[in-house]
Amino acid sequence: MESDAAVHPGQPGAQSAAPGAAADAAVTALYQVHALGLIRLAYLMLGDAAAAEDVVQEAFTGLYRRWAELSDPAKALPYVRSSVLNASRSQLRRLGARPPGAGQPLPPAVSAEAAALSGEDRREVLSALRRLPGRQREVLVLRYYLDLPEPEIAAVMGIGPSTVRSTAHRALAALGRMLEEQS
Amino acid sequence: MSMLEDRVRRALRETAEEIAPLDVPPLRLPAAGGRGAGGGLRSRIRRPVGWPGWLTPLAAAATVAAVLAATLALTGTLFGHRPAHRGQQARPLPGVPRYYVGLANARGQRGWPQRAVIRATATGQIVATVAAPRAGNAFLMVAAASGAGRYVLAAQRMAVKHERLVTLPGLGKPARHQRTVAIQVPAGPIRFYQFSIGSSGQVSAPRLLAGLALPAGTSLTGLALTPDGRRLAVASQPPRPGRDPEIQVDTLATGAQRAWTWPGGQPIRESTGGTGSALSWAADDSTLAFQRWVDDRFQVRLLDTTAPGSSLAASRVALRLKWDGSGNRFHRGRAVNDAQTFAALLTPDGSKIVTATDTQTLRPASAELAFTEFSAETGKVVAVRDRWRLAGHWPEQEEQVLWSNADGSTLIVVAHRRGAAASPQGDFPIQFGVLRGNRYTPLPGTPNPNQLSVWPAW
Repeated sequence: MESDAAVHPGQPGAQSAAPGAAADAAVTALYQVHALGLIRLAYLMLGDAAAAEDVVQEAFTGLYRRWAELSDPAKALPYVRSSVLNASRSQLRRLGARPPGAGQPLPPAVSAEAAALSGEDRREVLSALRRLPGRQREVLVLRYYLDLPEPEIAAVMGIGPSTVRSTAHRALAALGRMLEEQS
Repeated sequence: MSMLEDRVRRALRETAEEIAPLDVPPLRLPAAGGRGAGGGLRSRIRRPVGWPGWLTPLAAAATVAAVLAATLALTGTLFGHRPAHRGQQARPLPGVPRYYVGLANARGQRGWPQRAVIRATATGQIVATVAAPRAGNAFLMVAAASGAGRYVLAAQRMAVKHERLVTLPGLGKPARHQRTVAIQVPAGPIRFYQFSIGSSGQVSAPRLLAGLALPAGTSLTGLALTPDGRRLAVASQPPRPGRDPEIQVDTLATGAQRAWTWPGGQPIRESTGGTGSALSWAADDSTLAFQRWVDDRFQVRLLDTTAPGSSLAASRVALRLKWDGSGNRFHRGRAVNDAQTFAALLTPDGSKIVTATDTQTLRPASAELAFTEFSAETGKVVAVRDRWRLAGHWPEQEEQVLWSNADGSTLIVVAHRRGAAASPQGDFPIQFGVLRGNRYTPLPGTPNPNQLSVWPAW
């Protein structure tokens, strides 16, 4: 049997309780299963492992604080995933990332060492990905790294399904164009 | 799966694996329930007023299951209207329709829109809202004949499809168990509803167009009313591969229907994934413009709907635009008309095709977004308006034509917000506005275009 608090976290009784043992157990368990994937997701967005870890840590802390108001544990993962994406955007904003074409060097997608060790094709694709506008990059990462279906991507990003399609379409088009340019 | 998609997937996965499982640090939770040094944190956390039962992160959503639960709850309201701002008659903007209809999510919901929202063009004030009907709990598209005050909504029932998505450890138990979330899938025919808006903003009860429906699984790719609102064109793609795209024209007063297909043809649609219309009419009530992809080109073709025959191939090519989005080519060093954000409208007088264009050059790397008029007779450029030149390439930047007056001299468009800087993500904010000649005027009170999955109809 599951504990009552875990099964019914959205009930009034649970809402009145602050994060406690049940939240500890549930959030920790969720972290154990999904932290690696989420850190990797943030890493793909940020290109910095330490920053990715921080972002994921913050997302789980946020989930923990609000655990009592979560009506269904199944919503926890989409919530954390959205938080990671939002925090990654904020992080990029704080770093002052500017659009391609504005004359500044692009932020590295991976470390120089890692890039040297990786294949040429991968380096080119990553370089092009980093030059995409943020929303396009997010859609491609969610689609091709996490394999999320369109409605899920729409829900995570807070945009409409058709916007997901059009953004992915244009992202691939732009990516193909950049790769053609590089070759 | 294309070769490019394979490359993206491989590159992402290989890069992600640079983070090894052993790199994951332990979770550091703030102490709670009086345990640990961080116990004081709880007192600083206040629940926001009205926080919903399910969580809503800052800019994102909860699961689609929540969307569905809320959507289905709405269907008890069959086309309820919510009049607003009674007695306030805003002075209309000259030369543009007085009202427009947008599709929106009900408060706190996501997924397909569940409401049609009627606003005054001059102020953005909401005149009325229309809830999705029981038979089709989501709206797909809206078509407008604003001059005649007539509108058509396409609606479809979306059902819950359960998928195993989240695996959670058993809470309080060692064994794992799985939770499911629901996603929306079409679960019924696409139906069409007509309503009207009077000159003072009174909205009639929507009426089902009983003789017109598309079977479940069919994709609706275009919807357009003639300027007088008497005829409705519907473009669709059948569910099974290999079936032919179709355009159906319905005379609303009589229910008379005609259909055209393109055997083996490419889908009839605009390029941006369905947010704009692939269809537009001339005011003669007989000439219908439609868009289709043919390899890497867009075509705008004109169909005489009074001529005999049922093949769309009998239509005439009015405009060909190079689509450079395939990634296979780049037009080195020379300007092209690139249909990155392409929804072309035939002006009601039938003389021009107006569309947003994105012209890019490689050396120097530059882009010019503009609204371009092409002759419907020759396909040649007649005028380029509201040129916006940018250093570098801006493949995502979006502009669109949404409405045209009789001769195309006044347009309602989605365009970049004047004077605004690019976001850190590299795109400029966009907004709805009126373009008269080269003079652009933003429309007040419009919804944020970035939040819409379907453009409003004027």
